[in-house]
Amino acid sequence: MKKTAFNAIHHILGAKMVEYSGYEMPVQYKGINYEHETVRNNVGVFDVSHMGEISVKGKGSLELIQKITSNDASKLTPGKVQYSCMPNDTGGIIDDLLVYKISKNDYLLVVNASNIQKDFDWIKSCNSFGAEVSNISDSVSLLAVQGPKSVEVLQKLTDINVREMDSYTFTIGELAHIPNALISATGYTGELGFEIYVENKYAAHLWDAIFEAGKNEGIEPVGLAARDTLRLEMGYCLYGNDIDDFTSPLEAGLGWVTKFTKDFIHSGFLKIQKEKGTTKKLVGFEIKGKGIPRHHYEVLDENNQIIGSVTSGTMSPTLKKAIGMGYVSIENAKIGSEIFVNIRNRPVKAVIVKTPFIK
Amino acid sequence: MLVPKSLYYTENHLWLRKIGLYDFCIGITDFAQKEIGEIHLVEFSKQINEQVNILTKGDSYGAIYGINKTFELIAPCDCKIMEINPNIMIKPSHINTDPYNCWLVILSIDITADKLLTYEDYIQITNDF
Repeated sequence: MKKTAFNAIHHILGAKMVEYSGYEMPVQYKGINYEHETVRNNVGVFDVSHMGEISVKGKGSLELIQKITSNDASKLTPGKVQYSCMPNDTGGIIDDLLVYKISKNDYLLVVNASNIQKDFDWIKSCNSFGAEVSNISDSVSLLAVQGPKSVEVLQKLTDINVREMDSYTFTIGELAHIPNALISATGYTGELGFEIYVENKYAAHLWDAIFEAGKNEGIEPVGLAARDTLRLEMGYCLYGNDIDDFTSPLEAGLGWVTKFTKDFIHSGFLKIQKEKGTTKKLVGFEIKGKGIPRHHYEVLDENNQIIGSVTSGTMSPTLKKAIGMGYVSIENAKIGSEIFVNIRNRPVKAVIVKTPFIK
Repeated sequence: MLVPKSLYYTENHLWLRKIGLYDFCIGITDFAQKEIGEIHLVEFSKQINEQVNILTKGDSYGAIYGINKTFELIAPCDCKIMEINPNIMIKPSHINTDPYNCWLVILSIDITADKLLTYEDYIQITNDF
C-alpha cells in the first residue's frame, strides 16, 4: 500500500487508517460529524496527496488537452483552473479532473487517485501532438484547507493576497517559507477554501505551519469520511460512485463542462445524445422514511418496478436527514417526484430534490 | 480496543452475554462500533416487530446505520428472539460510547456456549483484520 508524505502524522494523531485507491489514508480523526462541522464553521485540513498530477507541456499541449477533455481549455489564461471531464470512446467518463494553465504550453492535470495509471496511459495514447506528458504524482504532496476561516489561516503564512483570489484561480509563490507552492482557490466541500501543492520534502513543514497558524481558528484535521459527507451535501460527483466509464457526462448533469464549440474524443456521440436527450439522469433525493441509502441500492417506482440505482448515500450532518444521489429513468427524474429506495429489501419513500442539498 | 474477557463473541463482531441456560444478551463489539463510526439509527426487521421471531443462522434481523456505513445484524446461529431493547432505538449513539452495555436483543439459542468464540479467539480475529 502506498503512503503519502503525511502518513506518519496521521498515525501520530491517532487517525483511523484505511486502504483507499491503493493508499493508506485517514478516514477519520475525532469523528465524522465533528470534522464535517469544523469545515462548515471553521477550517479543516485534508491530506489529499493521493490525487494524481499529470504534467502536459510543450508544443501541442493545448491541442492534446482539447482532444481529451470535454471543457474548452482554450478559454483558460495563466492562473486559471477549469473543471472538466475526460470522455472515453464509448460515451462514458474516463475521469473527471482539474486543468491548471500554468503558462502558455504548460498545464497541470489533477486526476483521481484510482485512475492515475489509466489516465496517464490514455493521455499518452492520444498524444499525436508531440506534447511532453509526465506523471508527477509521486513527487507532489497536496493539502486541502477548507472552511470559512481558511483564508485567515493561510493569509498568516504568505504575502500573496489570498483574500483577493477568485474561485478557480491559482498562484505559485512562497507559503510558510516554502518556495514555489501552488495555492489554488479550489476544493471539494462547497466552502471557501484552498488546495496547496508542494514538493514532498516540504510536506511535514507545511502541515505544521498550517496547524500553528490556525490554532486560534479551531483548525482540525479531516478524514475521507467527512470529505464524502461534505461533497455529497453539495451534490458533487465522486468518480467510481456517481460517474464512471459507463455513465455519460450529460447523464451525470455535467453538460456545463461539455462544450460542443470544439471537437474532442467522442464529441459527435455526445452531441447527438444532447440533441436527443438521455434515457437516465443523475438526481439528488431525500429519504422520507427510516434508513440511509447506500451505493448500489435499487430505486423503485410506486409499482415496485426498478427505475434506477443509488450511486451515493449518507446521513447529512448539516440537514440531519438521509440524502443520496442516483440514476433514474428520465420520466421519473423531475424535481418533486416520489421514488422508493430499496433499503435492505424494504422500499423506503424518497423525493427527488434539487442539488446542492444545502445552500 | 476494548474486549471484555467475560463475554462470548462471533466472527461478525457481535458479543454475547450469558444470562440463562440458553439465553444471551447480544450487542456489537467496540471494534464494530469503531468501524461503523457515529451511529445514527438501529432498525430491526419488520418480521421481528411482527412477532415472527425464529431466526435461522445467517438471517438478517436488522441493521445499525452509521453516517457512511450500514452494519447488518446477522443471526449467529439458529435462535429465537425473546426481547428487543427499546432504549437502543431512542438513543442509538450510546452504542458508540458504551458498546458492551448496549444490548440489542435477548436471544435464546440452541447451541452451547462452547460453539461461540472466546475472548482469545476474538482478539485473534481482530488482529488478523
